[in-house]
Amino acid sequence: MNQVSHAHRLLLLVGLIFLSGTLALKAASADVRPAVLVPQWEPQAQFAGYYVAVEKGFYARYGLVVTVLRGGPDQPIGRLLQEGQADFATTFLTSALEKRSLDGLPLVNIAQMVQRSSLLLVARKSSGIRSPADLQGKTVSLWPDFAVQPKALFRKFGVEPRVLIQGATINLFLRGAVDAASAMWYNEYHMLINSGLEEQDLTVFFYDQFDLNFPEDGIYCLAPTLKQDPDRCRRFVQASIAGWQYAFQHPEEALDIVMRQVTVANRPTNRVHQRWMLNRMKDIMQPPGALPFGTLTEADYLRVARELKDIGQINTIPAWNEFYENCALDIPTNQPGR
Amino acid sequence: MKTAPLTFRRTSLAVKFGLMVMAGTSLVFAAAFIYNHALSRRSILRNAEINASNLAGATVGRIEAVLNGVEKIPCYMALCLEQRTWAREDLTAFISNGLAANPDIFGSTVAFEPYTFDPHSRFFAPYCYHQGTDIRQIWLGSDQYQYFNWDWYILPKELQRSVWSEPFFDEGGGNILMTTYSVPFYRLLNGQRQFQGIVTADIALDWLVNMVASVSYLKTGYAFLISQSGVFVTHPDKRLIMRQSIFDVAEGANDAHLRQVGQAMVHGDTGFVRLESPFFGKPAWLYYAPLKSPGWSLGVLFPEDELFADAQRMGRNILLIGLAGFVILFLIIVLISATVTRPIRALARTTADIARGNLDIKLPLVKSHDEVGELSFAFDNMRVALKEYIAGLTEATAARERLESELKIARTIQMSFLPKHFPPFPEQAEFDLFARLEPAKQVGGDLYDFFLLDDQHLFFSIGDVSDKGVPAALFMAVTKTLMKGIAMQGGLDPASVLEHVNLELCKENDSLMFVTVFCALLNFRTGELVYSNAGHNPPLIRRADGQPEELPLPKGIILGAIEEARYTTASLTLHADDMLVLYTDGVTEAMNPSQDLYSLERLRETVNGVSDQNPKTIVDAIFQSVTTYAAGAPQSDDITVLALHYNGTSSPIR
Amino acid sequence: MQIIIAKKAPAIILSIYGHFNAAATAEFERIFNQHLDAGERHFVLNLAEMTFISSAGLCSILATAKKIKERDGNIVICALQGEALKVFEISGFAALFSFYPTEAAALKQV
Repeated sequence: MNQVSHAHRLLLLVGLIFLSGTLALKAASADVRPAVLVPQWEPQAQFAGYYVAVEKGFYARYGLVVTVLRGGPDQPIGRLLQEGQADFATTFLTSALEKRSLDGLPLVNIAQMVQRSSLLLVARKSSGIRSPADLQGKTVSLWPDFAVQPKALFRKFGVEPRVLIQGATINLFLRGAVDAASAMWYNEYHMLINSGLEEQDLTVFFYDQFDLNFPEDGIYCLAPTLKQDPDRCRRFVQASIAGWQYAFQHPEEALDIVMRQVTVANRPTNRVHQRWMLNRMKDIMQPPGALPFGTLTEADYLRVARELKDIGQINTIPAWNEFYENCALDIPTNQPGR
Repeated sequence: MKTAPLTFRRTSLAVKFGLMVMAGTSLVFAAAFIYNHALSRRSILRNAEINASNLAGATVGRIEAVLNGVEKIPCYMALCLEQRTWAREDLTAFISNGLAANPDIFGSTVAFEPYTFDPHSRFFAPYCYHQGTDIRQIWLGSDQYQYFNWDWYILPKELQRSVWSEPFFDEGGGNILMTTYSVPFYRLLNGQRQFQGIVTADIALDWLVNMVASVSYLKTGYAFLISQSGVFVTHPDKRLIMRQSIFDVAEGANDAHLRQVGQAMVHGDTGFVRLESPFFGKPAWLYYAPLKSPGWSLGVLFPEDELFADAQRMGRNILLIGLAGFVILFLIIVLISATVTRPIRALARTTADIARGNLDIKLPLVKSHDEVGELSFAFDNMRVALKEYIAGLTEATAARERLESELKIARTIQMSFLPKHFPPFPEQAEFDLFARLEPAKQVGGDLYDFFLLDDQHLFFSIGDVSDKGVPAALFMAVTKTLMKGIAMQGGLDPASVLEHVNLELCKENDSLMFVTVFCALLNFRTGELVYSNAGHNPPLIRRADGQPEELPLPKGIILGAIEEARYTTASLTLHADDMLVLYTDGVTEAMNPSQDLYSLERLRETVNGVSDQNPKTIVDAIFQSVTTYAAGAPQSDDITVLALHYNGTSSPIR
Repeated sequence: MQIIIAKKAPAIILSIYGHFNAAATAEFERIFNQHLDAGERHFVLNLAEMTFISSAGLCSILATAKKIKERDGNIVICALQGEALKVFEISGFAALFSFYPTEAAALKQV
């Protein structure tokens, strides 16, 4: 009955294998500080930069011993941060705002990593959908967690499609039960293609085309974490950025690292798919005219926050300077020699 | 560079013939081989397709039999659910009993829409499943597991038909591959058919994995199964299972064709295609057929080289046999050709001897009546003919040489008897005399002569023997000698001289030779000329003041014809500057290339045209004119001209 | 030169056409010898169409006549006229042969 895993209760101390040697050495040193990251989802190329930063020793160079936990539905980042099991987490901007509002969790964005929204709406051209206006009267499946942008799009075009809740698979769309479905560009979209659909047969709505760009993955920690040791946060962010840059420069090596994570986690995926994902991560993290890594503009922030507030997902909009501190900018104190 | 074609040209006929036959045979063999190869390839492929199709069909049939059996249970349950309202206990018992009766089914549930079974309960979905020999039951549905949103529930609901789910790993139940058959059921409420919920049957697919894995074809061929979205459900390479779709493989290998094949497979098509590398690392053939009810596709894949291994081995053997056959064939042809060409070679050797001039050599005897025999026979004829011809030629050459030497002798005789010193009598101022004889190749026997009898008489003559060659030359010599001898006795007039000469010539004239003679006696003191003629052309006389005229001649028969011939003497008187021109018919009968005669008329004109009084000038002018007229035509007779110019008695020179 | 041969008993009639010069003598003598060897003894030489005769031609006729005489045959000439007749007269040959105006006359005397 259980179509997705409920069974993973173990924390996977990813990176320990690699770091166990250096950890023993560096532990003795006073300026080596531990840090734990929990990504918002299971191991995949979406988090390639962090795995690469661990394996290629970028965190170590920044004086950190980083453990990347296995993320996923069973590892809600809010709880892990709150319980102190993790110091840092990645999550969508919307999710962070919601958690801050609904759970009262003092999440702080210390680096905005993904600039461009990867969420999209996909439809078959054969269903007659060419523009969002064509969605009127159609059946659309949406992920409840990522319904803000599609709903804003529907409002924008004044359409009221029939909405179904989209589960963990794309089978509703594949088997023709819905006319349109949500998909992540780096993930489900590729799965559609590699279930035999042709790109030219599909209509794709990217939200940034409709002025609904929501920056996605950012690095978060709790406000006290930042306050206590902002230097550690900077080191973590900057080492992570170095990991990403390396991953983009050496995609096949990065894929090797990702695939090791994937294999350990026994994820039903493959290298081809992960390659696609890594390439798309580069597209959404470094789109043309992108801001430097870590940057979140106040305008983007306010657009997302106001949209959430308007639809009642959040009650208040956190103050800009309380919510965001770009740890990619300032040089960490006690910077280790490179 | 030049040795190669030379070598081939020198290669014996037998080898050449052998090579040519070999070349032809090879072509035929190659064509037959290629045709056979192509044909056998096609038939092998057709057989392979049939075999693979049978194999796939059997496997698909077995799988579908199981699946169809499973399908019946939830269908029946759904039917029952639609008939009446069920109590909670009845329902769980119903599920449990159904499960007990069907060991193929791992678990089953009847899941209702929210608040449908129980208006107070959002979730209602009792799930029964096998646990060893027991049947356990749990309740599905919670805030974390809102089953309404899961594929097994929402897909049949939305599609309003029964659905096989994509295979999945049940990680809780021992990590086995499973799939779920979901059947929607409805109730009629207020005349409206309303969706009530879903009946499911979960089945483990380990039997299916084993069944597909047991399929093998050729050495390394195997079967695999892909789901409706192209994901590998079974495959010998475990890493592919549930991780990759056939389209992922195509993308990884950058193989557009494989992607097309994948699309055909998930579309439910049947096909037989050749695949390049990605699956086997070498070209392979794939037969695929759909499993209709779950929308999956079974593929039977086998490498091409194994498929054609037998054909290739057979082809190699045929080639080897063919090669051996060729060698034997070649030897036989060379042997036969050598036998056939042996007489030709013998002939060639003999011919070489003949070519060196040995015409007496015996040709090898060829008994056969074929072309070689004919050739040999013709060759021998040629040899004999050649021999005769050469003999004839030798003889002819000898004869010609003899003739030529005779002619030379004749010419020598003739010329040696002629007086050739000019002017002959420089002390005699009364006349000038010049003569010239141009013998033809076949000496004609012309003659001229002049001599002084005393201090006032000049005897001169011209003549022509009626034959050619040495006899004519001798006859001329005899005539001349006789005439001079007789004339020198003195006191005889020309007619008497001719009569005496004729008498002598007629004696013993067996050779039937005759000679024309004109002779004259000039008293150069007085100018008195007495003359007689024996059948000779009349000489021309050009008086000082006149045209050339023929000298009137007395009748007289040719010398040597009859003994009793009588001759007459005529006379006239020459005056100063009179010119006498004596000639033979070699002048007037000289021919040009169109065989027209020079003629007396032309001679007269020539003589008339020369005003010079020098006899040499007039003689040369006549010769020049005749030569010009002849224009290269061969001279057939001697040409003789004698000219005498009478200066008169009281010459100023004196 | 051309020689037409006809047999009118008891003689062989040879008619000479064209020039009878040195070049023609061989052919003339060959024909005569041929008939002589074949046993013919009486010949009529028709010279009506002879346009010219050289000394060689005359000698050829004379030599032939001598041969015929040796074998107790005879030869007569008919239809001789014009220049050719003059040549026969000048050369003295006229005295050696019998001449008849026509072929018919000649045949009677053969």
